[in-house]
Amino acid sequence: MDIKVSSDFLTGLLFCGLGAVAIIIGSSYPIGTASRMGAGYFPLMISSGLVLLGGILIIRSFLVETAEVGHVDFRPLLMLVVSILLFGLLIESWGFLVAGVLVVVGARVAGRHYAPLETALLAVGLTVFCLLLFVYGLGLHLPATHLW
Amino acid sequence: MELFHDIGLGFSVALTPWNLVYGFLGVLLGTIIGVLPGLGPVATISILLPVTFTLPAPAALIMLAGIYYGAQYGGSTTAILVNLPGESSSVVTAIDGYQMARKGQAGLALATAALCSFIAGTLATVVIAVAAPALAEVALDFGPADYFSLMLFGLVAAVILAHGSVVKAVGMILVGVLLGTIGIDANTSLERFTFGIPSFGDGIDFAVVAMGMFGIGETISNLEQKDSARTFVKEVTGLWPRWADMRRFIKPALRGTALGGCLGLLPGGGPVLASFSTYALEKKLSKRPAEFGRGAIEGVAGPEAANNAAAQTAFIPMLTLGLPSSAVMALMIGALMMQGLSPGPQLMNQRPDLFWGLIASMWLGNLMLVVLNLPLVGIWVKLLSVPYRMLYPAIMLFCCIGVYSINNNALDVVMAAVFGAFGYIMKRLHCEPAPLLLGFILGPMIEETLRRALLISHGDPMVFLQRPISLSFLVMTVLLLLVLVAPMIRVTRERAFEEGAD
Repeated sequence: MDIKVSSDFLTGLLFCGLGAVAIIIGSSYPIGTASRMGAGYFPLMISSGLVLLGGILIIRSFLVETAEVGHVDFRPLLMLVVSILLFGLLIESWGFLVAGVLVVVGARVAGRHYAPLETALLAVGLTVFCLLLFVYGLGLHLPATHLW
Repeated sequence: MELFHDIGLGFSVALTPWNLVYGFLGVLLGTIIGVLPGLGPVATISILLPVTFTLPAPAALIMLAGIYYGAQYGGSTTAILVNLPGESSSVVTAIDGYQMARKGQAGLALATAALCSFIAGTLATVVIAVAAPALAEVALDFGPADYFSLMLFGLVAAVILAHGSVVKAVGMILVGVLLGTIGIDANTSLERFTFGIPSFGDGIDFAVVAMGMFGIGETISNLEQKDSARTFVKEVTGLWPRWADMRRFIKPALRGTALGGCLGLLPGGGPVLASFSTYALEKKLSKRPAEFGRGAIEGVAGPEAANNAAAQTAFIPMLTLGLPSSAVMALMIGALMMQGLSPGPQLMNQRPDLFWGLIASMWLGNLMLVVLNLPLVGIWVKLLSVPYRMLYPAIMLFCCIGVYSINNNALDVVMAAVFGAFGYIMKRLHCEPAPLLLGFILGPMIEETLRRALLISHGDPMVFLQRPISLSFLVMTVLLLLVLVAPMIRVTRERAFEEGAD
């Protein structure tokens, strides 16, 4: 997908948005004085700075010709993020073996490398290798044995 | 002499069998990831951070440091044989190194790179041993106001590290600082930005941010590019340089060490800048500048020495001031903090074994690297034929395991996925992740020193200008900002990076 919007404009919007959210949430924290700062003093300083910088980027994007974002491939982004999210959501209920295989398969699909046999072998091989190395070798506590 | 006593202590720590093993593991892993394009030391160190938690502090630091300078060696192998920088700092090595390899001098180019890196590594180790204690002595007098100004200087200097827009880099720093405020405020015990989630009370773990932004985010953007076929030089002969060759590369190596060592000290300097500047210097000094770009041995020797020297002297501000000058040094500080140690000038007195052991291990590591890289070069050539489609699923799996095992908390994995997406989006918007990471690390320290400085001065901000140390850092910060914004220098900086991208 081609995004024909200035990347500076989008960055500015993002900075402003993040800063504004932080200011709104942070408005409930006491500010205090310079010599006795409350919890809200420093975050307010930083988030105001962020809004200011975002503003500069937005204004500049209208005044000067800036580069467009250009072609973005959403498939790797979505597939990879979803497969890692799944790992996080499933590791405690289904165990490492299932979650691990899912990540590897998800990663291969994200990069358009289907090749079912190669993917299956890689997924099983890597997961078993990691189980041996990290759980038995290095003694990390992964929920590995929930399956049986 | 106290120095000899200290260095003796260092070697007694570094030479214990387990520390030797971890050091070797570090440089081996560093070489591997340096050889493989698309996987850098930042991602690797962030993946391994949780594992080092179970190790004693010296072993952890020795291993992580080994990964860092090992990657400098491995990166040059790929640069010479494939004309692809395995590591961003070996971009310059690829220019003349690959040309040498095409002329049948692959062995000579590899030997030059390894030996010059070794010379630089040895000299830089001596520099650290001499300079670091002196600097730490000075830093012991620093008050909160001085530290505040120092860290401000460090953050602004980090902007140099980022390509492209200064405004975006500063913005990324602020986002990082803001992320650093998440959690329970140390002074007032008030929860900030925790959204009612209990495990956010301790803040977001540093390794989660690092692994998300670098490990996952970088992989997503790598997947966008097509897996291009690589053409590489498989024949490596003549590994041992002749006397005449050595005489040609020794002077560039020494000059590269000096320049690289100085640039490595500066926050934001680092190996990339060092190798670019040394290449330019050697080209200017050479009697045959036309040879550069067509396989000049000086064009390999100088930059290789420089990037290794810079990689090592970058440890000086990290070890003595607690100031990270690059993303890798930020990770090192993260590793120290995970071990319950606070980086700063007191570290050397509290843990001399850690400090001197690390320094001694750097020299040993460099020695191991020469052995690893020259006689075993055949293995690295084979490793280069492993396609990326087999590698990145493994990287992702390691990332997941690494993040989960920090606190055995599945929420960390979810957060890492979120930071991965965020890192990728920011990269597409031409915002670099490194400044964010520095802001995240330094943010809480900046807030703390700001509070303490203003508490002592009863709210009078003039305290930052009245203390000479603080004032000089602030003056340097302002000068640096002017330099960054001044159009002429900005153009040359952009040009330097564009040359690197070609």
